[in-house]
Amino acid sequence: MIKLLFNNSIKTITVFILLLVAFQAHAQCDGKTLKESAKKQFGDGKYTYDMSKLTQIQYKAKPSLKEIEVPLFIGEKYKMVFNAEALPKSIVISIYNRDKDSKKRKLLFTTKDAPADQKQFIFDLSKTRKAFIDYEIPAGDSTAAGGCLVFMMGYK
Amino acid sequence: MKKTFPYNILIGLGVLLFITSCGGNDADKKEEIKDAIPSVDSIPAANNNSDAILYTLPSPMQIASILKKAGLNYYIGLTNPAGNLTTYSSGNTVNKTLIMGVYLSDLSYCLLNKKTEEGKKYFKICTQLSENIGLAKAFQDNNIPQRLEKNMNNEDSVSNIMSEIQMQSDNMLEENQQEYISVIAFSGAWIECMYIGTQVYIKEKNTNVSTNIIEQMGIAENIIKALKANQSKDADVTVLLHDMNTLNDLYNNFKSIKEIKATDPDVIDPSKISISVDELLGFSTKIDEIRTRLVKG
Repeated sequence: MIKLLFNNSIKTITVFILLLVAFQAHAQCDGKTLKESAKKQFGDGKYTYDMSKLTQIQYKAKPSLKEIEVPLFIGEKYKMVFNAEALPKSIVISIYNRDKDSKKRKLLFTTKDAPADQKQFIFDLSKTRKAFIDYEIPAGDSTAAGGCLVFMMGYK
Repeated sequence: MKKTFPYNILIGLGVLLFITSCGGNDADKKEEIKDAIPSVDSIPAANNNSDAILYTLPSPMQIASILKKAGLNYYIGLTNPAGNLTTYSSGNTVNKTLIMGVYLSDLSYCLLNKKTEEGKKYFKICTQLSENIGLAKAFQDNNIPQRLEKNMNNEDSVSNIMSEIQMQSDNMLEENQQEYISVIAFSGAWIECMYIGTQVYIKEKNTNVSTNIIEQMGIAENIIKALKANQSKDADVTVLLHDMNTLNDLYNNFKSIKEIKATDPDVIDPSKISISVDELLGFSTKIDEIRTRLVKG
């Protein structure tokens, strides 16, 4: 009888842990919610939504890098918003005027010195034709579930 | 009879949810693999095989809005006739998506020029075409048809509603791992915008318009990169890719572009570009040819 109760308790705990982890992971990478939250940074009608990108981040045994190339237009004013609420471990987001292989590239923005608890980052940009967004992903447990990050851009 | 708690079902559900919640990482792996595929054309799909490069494109509405700000006037007969819609019922997904992009540009051109009746017509067409690629919800949710009809003369409201459609479409395509659909739709929209822009330039010789057209030409390179990154998902993009390469080669062979690229291939300042009327007309002829083939279905 005791053995049966013990077995059932173990099963119940296992089920709830699995469900909890699963639901948490689902909630973490809910792109729609993350984007809605990011869009609030555009202000009421001040910036018009242009595009967004949800990027899955998987930590690896060694640090890795992802780069996003963003075409821009000279006369436009842009607001870039990053929502990192669904990342279990901080990454560094940097914006450059040229790609990662260029020796002439200039840093326009970085979250390197941002407080560890800051989850949303905003950057205004104009008078440039391209932006290269680098996600510097630190080493981490490659077997664990990663997270995701939203980048959204508006123009006016 | 003793009732037992359905542990097996619950454990199965938990495992299933756990696996699906990590599904995005598989997509990510695919993205890195596809970036590592060697490219045969002039623009590489990725600069470094070890790290992923992702590409983004602006919204069709932004392109139309920039050209409108530059003074792009409305002319009857430049948009793709609504009557052509029936021609596209038998096309493949790439062609249907390209046509959707074409009509999205026509819709933006009409709305930004306060052509409400035409706007209504093109919105209806876009809604119909969106059903083919699973995006009908983006055009119908949140009372979008009613709101658009009510605010067709208000440019700010129109921009907001169109951006809402864009965001909803982006979300849906991302959820279904079909981001390449938006690349194809944007390609169609860009071709139509360039077609309308060059046709209006030929009529008016407005240098503000031509300056903006030249700036927009630079986007061809980004379209090519984004198409290549998604090439493995639909073989039918090959023709489109060829067309985009042709247009990009034309742009890269303009005298001033060659000169600027010789000194700094990374950053091209549009204010330093000086393109002759003949060069612009050559581009216009090619765009016209590609667009004509496209809208014939």
